[in-house]
Amino acid sequence: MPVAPCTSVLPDRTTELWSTIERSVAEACLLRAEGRAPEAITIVQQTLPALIAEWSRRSGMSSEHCQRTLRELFARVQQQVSTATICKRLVLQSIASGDAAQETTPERFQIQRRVPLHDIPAMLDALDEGERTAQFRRQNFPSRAVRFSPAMALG
Amino acid sequence: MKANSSKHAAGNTAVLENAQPQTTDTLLVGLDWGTNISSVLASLRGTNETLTKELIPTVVGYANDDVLPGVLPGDAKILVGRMALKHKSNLKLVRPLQGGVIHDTEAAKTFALNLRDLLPTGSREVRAVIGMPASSDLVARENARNAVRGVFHKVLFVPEPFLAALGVRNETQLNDPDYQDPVLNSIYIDIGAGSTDVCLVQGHYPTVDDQLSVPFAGDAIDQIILDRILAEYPESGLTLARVREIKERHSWVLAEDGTTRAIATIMVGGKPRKLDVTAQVGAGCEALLQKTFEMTRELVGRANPDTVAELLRNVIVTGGGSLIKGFGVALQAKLIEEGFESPQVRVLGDNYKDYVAAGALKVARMARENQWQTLLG
Repeated sequence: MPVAPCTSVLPDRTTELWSTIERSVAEACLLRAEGRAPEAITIVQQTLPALIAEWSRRSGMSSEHCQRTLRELFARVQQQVSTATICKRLVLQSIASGDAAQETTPERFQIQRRVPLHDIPAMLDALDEGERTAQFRRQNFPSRAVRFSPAMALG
Repeated sequence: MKANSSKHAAGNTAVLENAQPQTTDTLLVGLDWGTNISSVLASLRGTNETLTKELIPTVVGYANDDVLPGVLPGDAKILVGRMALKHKSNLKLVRPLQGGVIHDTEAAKTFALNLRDLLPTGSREVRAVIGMPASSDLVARENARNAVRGVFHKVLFVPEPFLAALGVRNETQLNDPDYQDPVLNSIYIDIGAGSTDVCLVQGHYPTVDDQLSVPFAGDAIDQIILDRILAEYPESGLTLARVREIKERHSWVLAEDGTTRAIATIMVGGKPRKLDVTAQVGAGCEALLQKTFEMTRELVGRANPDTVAELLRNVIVTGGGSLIKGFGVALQAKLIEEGFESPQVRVLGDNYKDYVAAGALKVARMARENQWQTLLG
């Protein structure tokens, strides 16, 4: 936590300035994490300096204290964005691997248990079980189902 | 075989009525509905006599707007199968299935109705077992049901590898000590248009763990050949359909076969030219061979080590890809190179279609009454 400007004791304008600085820093870090460096630089070079200068004047804190508070803010926000980026990557990887698994086994026409070759009725029962399971999945997980090819596979 | 023009297209064939047939006779049909060619077998329930055995190109032709009267038989607006191919210059040809999947439902329905015209249906109830790729999904199966609604009264869809395994087995020889039962311990490789399926068949139907499937098969080869030829002859007006013809005539995977050059007549700049496409065709076929080999190797790795020796003596290649010259020998050679002991690869060849249809007919004969799916509407 920043040493910081405790919002309850700071004047309103100062609180407002600090909130704006926090949002701007977060936005700059996010933009950089998204690969949008030019936009991040615009915030850092054009938006933040004026906000920081005014906030420093109004905060009543020493210059050294202001700098430390700002450094802590940057460090905290960068850490948050870094954690969020890792989470995003993990979620995307999870979705991607789920998609890959779905694509390699898109409710394939096959059976889950062993059926002797001579037992044709049992084979048909096993296929029917698979069909029912696939229909259940499709009805209950429609977001998966929409990825299926609308084409009809034969021969 | 009959020449099959589309009578129903002219409105001469009624769609099956919803009401159940009055007769107790039931016609059983085994169908391998293939991308390029379909095989159908039919017999009456309770008999072993085959009443219908047909191979039909899976193609529907729609008459061009400017066709003059008397040019097409019966001035038909639609022709199917060989008749469509015969009159292709006056038709717009549509293949209902591409890459193993139906992309034109209307054409598929037209084809299926025409197919029914070839059967001795009379007033009989018609039940069909239809082979589908193991890689087909739920939507594909639902669409398939819709396509044959009004064509057959009852249907069952079964994965093609299952049917091929059943079809190739000769039950009458099971008591012969010299008979090598091809389904007791074998690897089935089914190379279709849209996918290559490799499965272990060890006395039971292959489960999820016994199968591998990749969307790399005949159509992928066509694309490789097309790309390679266009890279060398960019001005050639080559199409995938023409490439398919070239491949079917010249496909090869062995170097010694490659010495017989693949010379194809290709239009270049509007003029027919004889071009040597040996390397291009070979490259496509080699890619398929490599993929098939890798899948086979992986599946052998999954098998019980005690069964591998016998398994490798029963590697069976089926599907359109099995028609590539030298494919079986080349696959066998690669398995030997890999260090497998005495592998034997058997290629089912030209009649591979019959095995799926024969397997389908066996299933039709054995299915319980309550297992048939009734098609309403």
